[in-house]
Amino acid sequence: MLAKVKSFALIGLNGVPVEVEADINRGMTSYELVGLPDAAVKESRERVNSAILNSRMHFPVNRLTVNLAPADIKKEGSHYDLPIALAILKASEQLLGCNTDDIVMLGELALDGSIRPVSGVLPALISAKKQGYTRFIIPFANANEAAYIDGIQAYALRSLSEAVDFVTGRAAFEPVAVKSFSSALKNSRYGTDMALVKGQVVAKRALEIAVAGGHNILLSGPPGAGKTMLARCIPTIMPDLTFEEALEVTQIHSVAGDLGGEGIISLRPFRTPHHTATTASLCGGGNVRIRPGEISKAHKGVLFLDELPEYSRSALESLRQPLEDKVITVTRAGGAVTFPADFMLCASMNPCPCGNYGSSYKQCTCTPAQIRRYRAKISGPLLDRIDLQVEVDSVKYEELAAEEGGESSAEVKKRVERARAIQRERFGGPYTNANMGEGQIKKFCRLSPECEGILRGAFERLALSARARSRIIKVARTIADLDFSAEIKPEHILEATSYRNFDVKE
Amino acid sequence: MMNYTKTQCDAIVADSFGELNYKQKLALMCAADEKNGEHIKYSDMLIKSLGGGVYNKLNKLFLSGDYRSQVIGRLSERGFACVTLYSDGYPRLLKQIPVPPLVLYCRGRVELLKGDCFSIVGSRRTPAATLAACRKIAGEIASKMTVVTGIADGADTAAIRGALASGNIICVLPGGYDYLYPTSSGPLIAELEKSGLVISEWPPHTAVQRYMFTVRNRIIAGISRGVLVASAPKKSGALITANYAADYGREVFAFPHSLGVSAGEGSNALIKNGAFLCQNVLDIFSSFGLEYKTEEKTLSAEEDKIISFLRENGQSHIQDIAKAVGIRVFQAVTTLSALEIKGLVVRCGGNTYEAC
Repeated sequence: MLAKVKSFALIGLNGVPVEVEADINRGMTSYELVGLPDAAVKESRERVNSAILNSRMHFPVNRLTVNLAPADIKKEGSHYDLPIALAILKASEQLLGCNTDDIVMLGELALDGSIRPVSGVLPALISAKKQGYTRFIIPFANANEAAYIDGIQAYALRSLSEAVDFVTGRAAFEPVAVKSFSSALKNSRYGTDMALVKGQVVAKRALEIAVAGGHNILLSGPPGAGKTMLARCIPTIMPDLTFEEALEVTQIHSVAGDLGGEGIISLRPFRTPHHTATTASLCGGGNVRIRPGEISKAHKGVLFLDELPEYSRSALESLRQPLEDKVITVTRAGGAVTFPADFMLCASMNPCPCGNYGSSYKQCTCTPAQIRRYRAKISGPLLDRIDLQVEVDSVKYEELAAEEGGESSAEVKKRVERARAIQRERFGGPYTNANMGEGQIKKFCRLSPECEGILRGAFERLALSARARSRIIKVARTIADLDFSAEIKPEHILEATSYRNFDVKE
Repeated sequence: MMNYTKTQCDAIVADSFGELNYKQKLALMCAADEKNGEHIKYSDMLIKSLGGGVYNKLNKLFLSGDYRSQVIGRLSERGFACVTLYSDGYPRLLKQIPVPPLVLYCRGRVELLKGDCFSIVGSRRTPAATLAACRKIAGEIASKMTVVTGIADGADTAAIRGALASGNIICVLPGGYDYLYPTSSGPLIAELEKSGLVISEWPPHTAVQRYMFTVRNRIIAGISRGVLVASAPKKSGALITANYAADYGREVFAFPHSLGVSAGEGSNALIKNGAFLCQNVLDIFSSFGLEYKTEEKTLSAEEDKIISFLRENGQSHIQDIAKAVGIRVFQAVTTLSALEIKGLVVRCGGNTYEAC
């Protein structure tokens, strides 16, 4: 007899319906699994076999063929176990009176018949819902992922026997209750706060500007100055994730398989790949199943690259295009997949190889040529995409011991949100000043003759490189927004010029 | 195509033989000059003592018209103006030193060689505030004289940047043009050729070697009326230049440095030994009898407060500055930026500032 059950395959974040067909014929006992299964899918045979037997049902002893259609898409992952098992049971007439036509199933089976969690449930549910499916069987441990999708009935089940009971109607199950997303989060969940960072007033101000305008930022300072701690504060002053953003972020992490039972990611991601990271680990890769890299996992959050010059050149250069386009298309022999990658880049570095250049407490031992070589590791085009470059002070003991911490993240966040609101109005969408092209700069950042004069003076006196110009103007626009000023005033330009450490020639 | 007299041609061609030393080059020129009766015998002897191979080569090439037009043609093609010891344009003061360069290979505004020159030299590891001072004073000096310096990082580059706008700047290369050192100086050299002057006493194909730096320093000292040592550690090229300058009877100036700054030990020692202490451009101009009017910059009350705070306390952190003046830090950032653009303060790294 022939039986069909529905499941889903994921290509990137997009789901494609897969029909699992099982056919039992007379003949020598055999099991054929066709339809481009990968190793994990092929191994499902043993799991399905044991799971069925241990759930006190029979595994057919005839000629058994399982097909995963459409046959031209590579099937990958362990979530086909459950649909295969049910298709086999249905084909061997052990599920009389069941109707599985409109149910999409995902789940990995354990040998004892229980259903294990799988990755990619959320994007599969979302795509399936778009294609008109509304009933699902998912692993119990993935229940949270279904909780935020409205208008579907997802049944989170624990075992194969529960699934059998459900499809045959022997027992009733409640679908996963829909939860409403609340963005009212406490900053304490980030585990850090601006108020905890001592001193560093200039760097804190720069962070505020960077977040307000969506600019990328480079922190340069001696070892132990607190660059990492400052960077960790960035998510605490970013506006809360909206539901749509949170859903996007959660989908990516669901595909990557690092959701860890969380239903929806409501905190801005903060990713810190080590400097030995390869291009593939940053941008995404894999052959059959292309997985998102760090830049996609940092979507709507922060990608923090500590010790920027230590990263391999090719890894750094690969960031240029996604920084511009906000998406990354990973192309492999197995196909091409596009992942969102709208992140804020925060990088840190020492000012020179020994780390003490510009420090007032320790003498730098590097030659100018060494410093030049060290800084040249970061290419001009990458630096072009980093609007703010600030120095972090080396902190003296007295400062560490001092009590005063300054403003809390919540206060800064309020100002950031106001500045973002101004930008939303200006661009008519969720765009920020950092995304402005030359045309928009001309339109929205008109400079008065006085400002123009200051800028010209700054270029002459400080020997700035030409590429710094539009960067300074964009940052000045953000400073003006923070100041509720419709036009860019001289003080905004002046402040913006001070965040440009690396543009100075020499 | 440049027009050179016979003697000038002789000098350029003699200089093209890299295997000859200075004396031999002069001897070669004398030996070839028929009118110079008495000297010829001695010169001939000196040339003959070179050994067969070289002698034969000189004999064959020195007077050969083909070789001459080849040497001179190639230089003109590449845009070099050759100023020889026998040219009118040769710097007057440089002629007076014991071993004046036979030929100066120049690119840029050759007329600068005729004017009054003043040299600025210093260490590659010069503190940021001194660099800014160096840059500022170079700009001021360039309004009355031509600034002469080398091409190293640090003080040299700062002096070049300061004087470049006026174009009154001569940069003396340590070796030939084809071997720039440091190699990263290419773009700066190109700018200098456009608005200032770059000179070298070596034919362009001469590779730079260690000893040439010291030899070059004699030109920097010899060409100018005075030398300013912006910074110098105990042992440094800047001190060598200062010593040459003292030997040639030029005025030596030095910036004072605070105790414990290694880049200032040499310059402080110079002052101790009788060099002029230089605090601003007036110190230099007054000893040459030049007048200079410092332009008064109008400052806001806030800027004024910051400047006087920095004058009193030296290098200070932005937070301390803001506290002392009673403004918020990001306002201080703005004001300090403005002052930096006016050239009154300089950023010293780590968010610290110093007046200059």
